[in-house]
Amino acid sequence: MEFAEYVARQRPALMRFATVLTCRTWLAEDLVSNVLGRAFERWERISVMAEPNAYVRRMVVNEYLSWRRRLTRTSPRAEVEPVAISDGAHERAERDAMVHRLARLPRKQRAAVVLRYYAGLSDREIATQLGCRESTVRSQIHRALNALRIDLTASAPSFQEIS
Amino acid sequence: MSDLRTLHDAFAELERHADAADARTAPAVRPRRAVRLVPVMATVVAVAGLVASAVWLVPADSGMPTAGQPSTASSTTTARTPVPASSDELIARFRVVLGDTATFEVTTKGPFSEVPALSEHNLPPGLASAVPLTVNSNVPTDALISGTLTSAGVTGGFGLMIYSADSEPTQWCSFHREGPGLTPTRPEDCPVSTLPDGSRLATETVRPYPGTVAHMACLKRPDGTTVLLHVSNQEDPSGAAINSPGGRIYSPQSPLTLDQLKAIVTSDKW
Repeated sequence: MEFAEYVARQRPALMRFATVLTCRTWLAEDLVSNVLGRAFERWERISVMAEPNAYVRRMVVNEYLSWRRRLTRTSPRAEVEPVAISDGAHERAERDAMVHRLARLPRKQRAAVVLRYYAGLSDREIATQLGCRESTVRSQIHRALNALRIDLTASAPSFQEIS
Repeated sequence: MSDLRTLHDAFAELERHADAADARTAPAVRPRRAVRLVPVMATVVAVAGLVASAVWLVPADSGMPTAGQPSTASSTTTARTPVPASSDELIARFRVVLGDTATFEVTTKGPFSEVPALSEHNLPPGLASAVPLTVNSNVPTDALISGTLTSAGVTGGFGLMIYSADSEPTQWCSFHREGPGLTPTRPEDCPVSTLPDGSRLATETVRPYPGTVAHMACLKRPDGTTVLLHVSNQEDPSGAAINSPGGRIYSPQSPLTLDQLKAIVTSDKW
């Protein structure tokens, strides 16, 4: 696949993934752009991989996790009170509150949650992507779910989980 | 407690924002490549503590300097290059323009050491418009600073950038930005006035979160030189981004008024 074709096909999905990962569209744009720029430089090698998109997505995760200084500067500070969001619709307020809590998660926890529940990766795949043990992935997700105030027994999700 | 369905709803909401952002940066929507500089700068400026959204009203005839600034309308005829060649030069000019109005301390300077911007020559033919960020090689990207600014005992965050592009100053208006928890803004909340010399001035005030306020003034001179200034009462006005409060709040109000920002960007001392 030509790189231009890959970008045309996959960039929207990468933008979605990066936005879910960063909770910031401007950061996602920057993230995806940087990754695509570097992917282009090594496209000959990436394009012959079994799953080029998985590789590029991993580049996105790595890029995100490496932007320590930038994210430190732009991450919510503990002393900043959460913003109560309510436009009258309970579901919408709950959803927006969830986005807010997601945005406040530590980077690795957020990456683990996104890879698990958004990208649908297994613990092993997440461990590979994040460069840690599966047990670490499970503990990261456990802590993240606590911070997100998610009760896995509350209701059956409408999507299939991949373990 | 919530359940996973809510988490999935949150993902879906973020996806919608991604799609909206993608649509805004799609080549068909933004055909001018030079405009692509703006998202690059937006990112860096946001990181540096600048990017602000805004909801505010400006009198139609209020585009001229006030609030003690000794400046007049912008000048395009200076012996120096319109765009400072470096952050240090920008700092020196900013100091002159501010005079006694305020003091400032720079914490971040360009160029973009952490954001390896793409340029058109490291992209394949025909791809420049498909990749969201490209930098016009004619546009200096060094004239960028941010930090803290203090006026009359009030401290806040600021960000300043001078660059050259053909994009409109409204590129910086917050109605281009959106996110859960953000107060929706409209184009009419970011008025643009044309000054006597033909410069275009966009101004806005945003209160992204309770207790925060950020002013933005962006002047595009007839030659394309654009002066962008954000001043906020918080560390990082990029609280305009999705649910990312902008750091520590320094003061109850912004150290400068919007009129003062207008006076600064239109100063003839740049």
